Amino acid sequence: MTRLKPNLTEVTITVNGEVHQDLIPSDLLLVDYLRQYKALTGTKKGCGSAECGACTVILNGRAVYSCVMLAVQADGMSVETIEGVSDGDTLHPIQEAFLDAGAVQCGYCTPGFIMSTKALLEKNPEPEECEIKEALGGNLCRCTGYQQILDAVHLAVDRMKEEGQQA
Amino acid sequence: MKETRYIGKPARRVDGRAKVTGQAKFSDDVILPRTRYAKVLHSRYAHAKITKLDVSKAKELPGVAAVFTAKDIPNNDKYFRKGTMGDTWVLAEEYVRYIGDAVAFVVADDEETAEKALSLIEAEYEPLPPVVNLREAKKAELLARADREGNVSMPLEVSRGDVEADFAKADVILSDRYVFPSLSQLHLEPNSVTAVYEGGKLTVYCASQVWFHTREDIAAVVGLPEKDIILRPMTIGGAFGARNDQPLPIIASLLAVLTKSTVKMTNTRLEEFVAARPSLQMDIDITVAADKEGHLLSKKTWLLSSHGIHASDNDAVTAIACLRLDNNYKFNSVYVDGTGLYLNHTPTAAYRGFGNPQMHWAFESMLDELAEKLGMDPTEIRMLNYHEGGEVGIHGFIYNNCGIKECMRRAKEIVNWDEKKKHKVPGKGIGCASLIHCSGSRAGKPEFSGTSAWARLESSGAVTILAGECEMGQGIVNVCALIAGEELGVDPLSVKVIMGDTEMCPFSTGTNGSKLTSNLGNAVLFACRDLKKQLCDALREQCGYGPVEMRDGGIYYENNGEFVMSLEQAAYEACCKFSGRPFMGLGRFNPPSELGDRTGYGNLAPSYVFGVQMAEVTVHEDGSFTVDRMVSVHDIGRVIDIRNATGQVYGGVMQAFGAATTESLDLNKEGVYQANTILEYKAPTLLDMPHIDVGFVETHDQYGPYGAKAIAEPPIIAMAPAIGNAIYDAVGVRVHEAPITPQRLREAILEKKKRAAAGEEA
Amino acid sequence: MMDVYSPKTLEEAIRLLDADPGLKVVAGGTDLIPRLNQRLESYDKLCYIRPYPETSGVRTEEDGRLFVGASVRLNETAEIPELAPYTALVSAATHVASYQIRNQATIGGNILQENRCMFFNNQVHWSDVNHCFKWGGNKCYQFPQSKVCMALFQSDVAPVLIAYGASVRVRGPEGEREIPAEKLYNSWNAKDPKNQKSLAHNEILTGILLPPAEEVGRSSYVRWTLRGTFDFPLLSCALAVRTEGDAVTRCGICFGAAGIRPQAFPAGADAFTGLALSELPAAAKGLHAEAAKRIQPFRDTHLDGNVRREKAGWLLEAAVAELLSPDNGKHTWFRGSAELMAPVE
Repeated sequence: MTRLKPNLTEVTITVNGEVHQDLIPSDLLLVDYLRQYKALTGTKKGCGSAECGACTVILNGRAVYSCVMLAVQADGMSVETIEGVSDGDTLHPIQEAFLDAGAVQCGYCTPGFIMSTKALLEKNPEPEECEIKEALGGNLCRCTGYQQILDAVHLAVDRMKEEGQQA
Repeated sequence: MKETRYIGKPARRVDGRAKVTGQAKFSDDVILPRTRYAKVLHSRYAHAKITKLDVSKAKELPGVAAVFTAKDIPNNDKYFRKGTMGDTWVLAEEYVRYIGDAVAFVVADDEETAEKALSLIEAEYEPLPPVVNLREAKKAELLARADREGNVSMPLEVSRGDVEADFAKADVILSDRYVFPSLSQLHLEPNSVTAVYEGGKLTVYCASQVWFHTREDIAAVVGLPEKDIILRPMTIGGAFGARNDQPLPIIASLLAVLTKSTVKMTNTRLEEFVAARPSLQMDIDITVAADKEGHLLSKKTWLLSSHGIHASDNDAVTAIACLRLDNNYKFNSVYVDGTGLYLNHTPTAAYRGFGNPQMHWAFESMLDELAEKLGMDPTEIRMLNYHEGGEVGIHGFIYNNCGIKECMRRAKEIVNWDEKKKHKVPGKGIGCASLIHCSGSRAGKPEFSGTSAWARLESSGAVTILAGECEMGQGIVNVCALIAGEELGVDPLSVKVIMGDTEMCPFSTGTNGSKLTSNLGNAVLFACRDLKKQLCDALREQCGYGPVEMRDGGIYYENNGEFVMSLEQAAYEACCKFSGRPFMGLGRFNPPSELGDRTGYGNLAPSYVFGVQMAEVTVHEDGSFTVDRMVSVHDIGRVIDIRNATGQVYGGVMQAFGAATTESLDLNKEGVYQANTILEYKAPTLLDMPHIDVGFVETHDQYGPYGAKAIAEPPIIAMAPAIGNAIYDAVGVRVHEAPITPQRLREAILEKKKRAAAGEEA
Repeated sequence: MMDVYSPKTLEEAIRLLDADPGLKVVAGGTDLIPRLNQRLESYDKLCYIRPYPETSGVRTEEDGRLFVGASVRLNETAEIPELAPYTALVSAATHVASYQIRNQATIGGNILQENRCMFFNNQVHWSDVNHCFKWGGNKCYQFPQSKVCMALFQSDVAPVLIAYGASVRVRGPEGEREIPAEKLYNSWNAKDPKNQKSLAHNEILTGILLPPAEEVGRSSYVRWTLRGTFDFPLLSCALAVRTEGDAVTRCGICFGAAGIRPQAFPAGADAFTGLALSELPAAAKGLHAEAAKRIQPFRDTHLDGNVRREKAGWLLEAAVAELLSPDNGKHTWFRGSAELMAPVE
């Protein structure tokens, strides 16, 4: 099997708390770095053009679309994906809230929404309704009509406040 | 009504945890070793003759395993229903007939090489004018396909009762024309398939609503017997009817077989728009006849629908659009002339509602026009003409129950209809529309009816439901788990539900026809009861416990209610006693229902679902408007999964809202959809959605499990005309072609002003 | 397959660009990379310019102007105290596209974005259909008689800069120069079709220079879209008004998504000058016809060519209402003319 010769470049990216040093094609998209090189397929590719939000990850605390970023743009930074949200056993309150509010149907948009929610609540643990809508507006859903997703965020806010928890 | 433990109570989804952790595997998440990647060379024109096709340079590119054109595909004409429609193909032969048409396939070591190879294929064409417009297609001055005389893909003409007599005695006759656009279902997950071929056996990881139909489709094209093909269902990121027929699983399977390897293909979003299966555009003329009290006497309908360039399930969609709605009102007679037409765009297919939304857009708007003419309130004219339980619809629907009047009462109450109509606020309006749909439609193969399921108890006590249909997000897995939990006395979250694996699940015609809750739900119910009986019989007799019952996760003596042992212990003991025999409860539900006769007459389902939808709007002079609130009330029989049923209503309503306000796949004159990105297609975002109120009327269906009926399709059916009717109520103006864009509404407002100025009647 | 260079300093980036005319700059990536993924464009080489010290942050210059680094991300503008008085700028920047895009997109990138048109951006890339000038063809499908590409410039931030009378700073191998914002945008040129901006290929935009807040005065920005997020403006209006006493002494009005360049509205600005703030709404009402003249007709997937011309006056009225509102900045999304028009009887 022959391969085209890529221009390789070194990146150091912290992925879900682990530092990774990799030699990657310089034109590799961040979403492909995560899905193919790290086998973290929880982040989805719905459109490839920043129009749907399914590829949302948290980069140095900001929710961004990984499908329109090069992996090299994340060099030296920290990326969080859906796989890093629970510890493999205990779910994050945001995940629990999505389950309890009925905010999950087909599940394809769910990782993106959870990352957007997490990024929001980390910065702003008690957001106003308009702030929630603004922070989650960049995620599309075709199944739920959004109402239960908003319910989930409110539920997460209340529960995290009760437990004195940080996002 | 018996008190239930799980049915109707808020519950988490059994597949929820995998989805919120990112562990759920969708088709593109499949990573197998030694996978090759395939890409499609699509046509450069919407309609052209292929004058040159040279793939030699592409074949020579290092890393390319193979390049195929039509001559390499022996069963090229066997795509979809084994090719019996006589008009399909996998790869274009002499002509290309839509912009997404496939001209060649490239299989390579990686995606980039495959794409590079596409650019090395030398294809030349002689462009031909594409047929892009329904009325144009009907005139047939231009042909969409040179191999056909005319552009008619499917004619349909049905007459019921004495239409002319009814028109003769009518007090009011009204005519109008409505157009509903072609829409993209826009499931967020693009189609992706990984097909593995080895030694005569094919395993396909993909999405499908109709696993066994897809297996049949694959078999016909690749030339393998069905028993050598296995479909492994992946988690599906939405379908909404689009995945009843998709070319990708067939193409990837074919390429795996031809290259004797593992082949993966994933659609780009652009391919999802132009080379997949959007819904049918419909151009509908209606003339309705009524008496002065508002009784609907008769109706004549002429319908044109876009089938695209070849068969898919578009024929069934057109048929349902032509007939179904008539059943909702007490017509004496009806006539319909429907024509499915070939146009030079990708074949069209089902979208939630299956043709019903298109016809409801037209007729539910007309009904309001009629109400106005007669000086009746729109809810009044509907209530007057609704059926009741025990009656029969004009095309043969037998209503063992009908909750539509209660839906109307409830909806009016929620929205405060009478108050709002009495005290009109300038610029604000309220509108309603009602709907009918099947619950448990006898759709699909003539030789197959009903459905079956297994409930398996394994030696460890694990309970598994096996069914042949498809979970695509709508939540049927959870309905199955809740029913199993209720019947077997186990925690629903502990129940595993396997759907659609063709190696281990029962045969099924798939997820469509709104038939899962009603039909599969019953099959699961019966399977669980059968399982309980098998286990309890075994424990009573062969294990010697005497009469016992299964409940609350354990086994209890029937006479004094004392605990005997846990389910896990009982499963192990019984299993050992029977030399490892599996306890497979078998359930089958074959309800009274029939495929329509050749005029479409028949009781298509055991039961029917009804609903009333309302919208409140604020309209402005510049044609902009906001939908302030939407209300959706459904006769659901009985709610099984309250969270998901509510979510299904929100989602369906949102899709109707999108069709009413922004969504549309308009074909330009070159045969290209201009709105071929999500950005331009403008699917509703979180910031666009008004508040939605949901109501459920529980009529306790005699057939459905726990009395339940369908809920998944109805919410999309009547909200668009409800919005249109609300706008009319607000400003006395109608837009006849959905979506109601600001420009169209503005033009209608100006038109009305012009006519008013000229002294004409509105 | 592309080679992507990631120069560690601004100087290195300029050197690379100077040496290679085929090198394409990418900063946030939210403008270019979607087009690459959609196969609307392709390049052999990209130059990723990360946030450099010279392009980062916000600082007051000696002459009192406020320098805003080109790398400042759109959402960041809402968190920078020095930018708070520039209401229109923050409104514009925080309503571009969607939240995640704004977290990654740079303000420099926004004002240098590629012009857009459905015939180009919604091209079926494997086809020969509607191959327009921008695509390398020889026709404009918006205006069949046109000899040049008429794709619309749809930046939200650019019209604000023009209404402010702001400038931008660019740096090249020879050093730095300033360009007034309105001079940044050119007509389409067949000889250099990929560049409708006044930057030379070897120049990098380092930042924006805003006049001092007192000079700019109050400002507002409204954008007309069908959806509440994601969408480019169908038309937008930036308004800046400086008053002395109650009279307007300086006014800047600029329409966005109104032409191949942002369209300043000097007739409107003149009409407003000298008026009291309370007189602006009525004055705006009388400017509909004049405003419409500034707008290039342009077909869209949901609108025919002339529809947006009609909207200009309404948007101006909305911008005035927003400027006078105590909640200026909260109603950037113009959906219709709710408060401005009587509903249809």
